Amino acid sequence: MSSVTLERLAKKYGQVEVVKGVSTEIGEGELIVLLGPSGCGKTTILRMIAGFIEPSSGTVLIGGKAVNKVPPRARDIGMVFQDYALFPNMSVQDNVAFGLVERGVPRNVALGRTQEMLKLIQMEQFGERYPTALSGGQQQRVALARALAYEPRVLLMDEPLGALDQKLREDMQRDFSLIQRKVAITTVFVTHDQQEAMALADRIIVMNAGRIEQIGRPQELYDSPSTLFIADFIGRSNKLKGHVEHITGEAAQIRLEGGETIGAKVVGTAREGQNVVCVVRPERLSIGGVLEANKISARLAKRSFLGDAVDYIFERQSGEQIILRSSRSAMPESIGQDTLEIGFEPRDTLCFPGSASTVQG
Amino acid sequence: MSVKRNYDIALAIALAISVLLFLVPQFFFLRESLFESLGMGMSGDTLTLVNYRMILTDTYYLEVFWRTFVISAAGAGAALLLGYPTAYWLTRMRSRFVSMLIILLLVSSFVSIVVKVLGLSMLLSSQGPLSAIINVLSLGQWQPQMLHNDFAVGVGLVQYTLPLVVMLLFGVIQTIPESFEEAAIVHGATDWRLFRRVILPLSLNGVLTAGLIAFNMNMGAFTSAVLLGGGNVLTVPVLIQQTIILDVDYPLAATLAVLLTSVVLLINLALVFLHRFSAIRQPRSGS
Ligand SMILES: Nc1ncnc2c1ncn2[C@@H]1O[C@H](COP(=O)(O)OP(=O)(O)OP(=O)(O)O)[C@@H](O)[C@H]1O
Ligand SMILES: [Mg+2]
Repeated sequence: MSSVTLERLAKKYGQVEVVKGVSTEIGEGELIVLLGPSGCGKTTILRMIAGFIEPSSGTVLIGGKAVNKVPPRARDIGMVFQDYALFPNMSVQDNVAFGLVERGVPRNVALGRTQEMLKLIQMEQFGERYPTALSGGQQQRVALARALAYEPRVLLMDEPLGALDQKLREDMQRDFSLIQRKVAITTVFVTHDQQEAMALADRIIVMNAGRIEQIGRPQELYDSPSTLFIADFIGRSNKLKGHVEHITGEAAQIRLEGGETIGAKVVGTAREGQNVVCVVRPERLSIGGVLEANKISARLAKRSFLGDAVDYIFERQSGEQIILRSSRSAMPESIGQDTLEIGFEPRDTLCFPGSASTVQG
Repeated sequence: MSVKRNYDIALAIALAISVLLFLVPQFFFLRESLFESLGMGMSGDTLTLVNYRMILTDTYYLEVFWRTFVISAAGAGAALLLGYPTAYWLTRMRSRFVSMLIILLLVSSFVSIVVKVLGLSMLLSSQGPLSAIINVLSLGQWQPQMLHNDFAVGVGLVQYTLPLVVMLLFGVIQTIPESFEEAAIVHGATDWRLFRRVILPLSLNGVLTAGLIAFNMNMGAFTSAVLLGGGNVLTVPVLIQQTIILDVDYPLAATLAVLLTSVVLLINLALVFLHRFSAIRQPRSGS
């Protein structure tokens, strides 16, 4: 049985529909990340699940039961807020015990459970402290413990790591996914950071303008995006414009605007002569190889050192920018300023019919 | 740095002037209160505590003090009870009218207290609309006397302090993020428990401050007591005025004034200490 089900969930503000009929099922214990650009409706969906926003139409089911008429406190959910929302007038201990106390759990049971939770987040010695005497990461963990203490059915998190700096953020991602596995709680995690989504999710729901664009495991989304939006939004992609010269099945010959002809896979259907946008991941490109079937030429504009990798940024005659990512050892230190041949494989080249509609914002 | 310093100096000067304006008259009151009245506005020339002894041993005066305290405290309590929900809804109202409502509050507190009190006395009088409504509702059985008694004075005091109380509470409740409320509710709190465990503790400082200010204003309130009390409600400020105008007894009036100020100061200090003390045992962090 699925833990959370959304059925044609929609939300309108006046004439503006910000969530446009979202349906999905979230499995027991699954960690789902709602991902999408700013303003696409992620928070709205999460708050409809929590019960803070009433859907204009559609149904939220938790544990198979429709909860549209159930108030937030009775929905059996835990929630972590972006600003943590720890109660400053209560100690860490009292914060964590809050849900237990409000549910009428006996004092000694609540206390024991609170200690367990503090242990889970490795903050046993912080029980007596007050939230303002904690670092951002510690507050974050206390907020998580508070949301998990009474073993709710679903955990909701809206950009919970948004206020942390990059390094801490990555540490917290790791800690959180370990805790989430340990307690095996169904989780809906909202973020607009695709790297974070990839790092955490069992499955990612990519949203765009109030609709679900694609649902899939991180690798699926990365390797076989179903739309140009996904290809552009998940990871980095090089985009090459062109038109279909010849097509059989999904294999096609594409004539690029720069003049070259390349082999590619077409996603969806395309006629001969139709405009397409082809995407290739930066790490699928190479220089100086002879084996690759596709070759395009571009001039090296910049080289940026990333520590474990190097990005080479090329410019095409047409003005298109090409990024090539290479492991440090794989490339010569200097490769000159001249126009170079960049090679890649047709199977790594995905083409999407239609003109170039790209991610906004 | 130097801007802050100039600012501090400006504040210090303002503070000094206020203190001076407060302390100098108090000093004269204190001195006057230590002489015996010889009648006809004349004072004796030997220091004595006879005025204090008289007031503190006479139940008539003690009753006036007690009445003043009860009406002031009840008025402050009622203003808090009315003002808190109002301030709360104002902070949670997501409307562009909120700032207009606040300005309206501010303006209403500028209206002269005499005008306000006259309006009230029309409302509360036995020929007034309120009386008529109650009379009809009780099928002609009850014609309440609402004017010229303690109740009327209390209503007047509430009307006098309410705008300020609402504005003070608004400022405090506004600093409580809505996410605190959502966190409490989503983790199982009822609305009442949310109020008891989160909102009230976080706004307690403001409630105490607003309550104390209202109480202090009430203790010194004169207009409401005179106009709405209609001579039936004797409070300390009214008594002081009578002592000066009717009895021309300056030493006694000065003694009453000194005692009033002392009582108010003591109550304020006691409450502040109580609050500090409970705050140490249960630290309240935050800005
Ligand atoms: N109360 C409201 N009234 C009108 N429009 C609203 C309201 N709340 C949200 N919206 C609009 O709904 C859309 C979706 O908002 P939502 O907060 O769900 O976006 P989001 O995906 O969470 O974005 P972000 O990543 O910036 O948090 C936005 O365009 C927003 O302007
Ligand atoms: Mg959001």
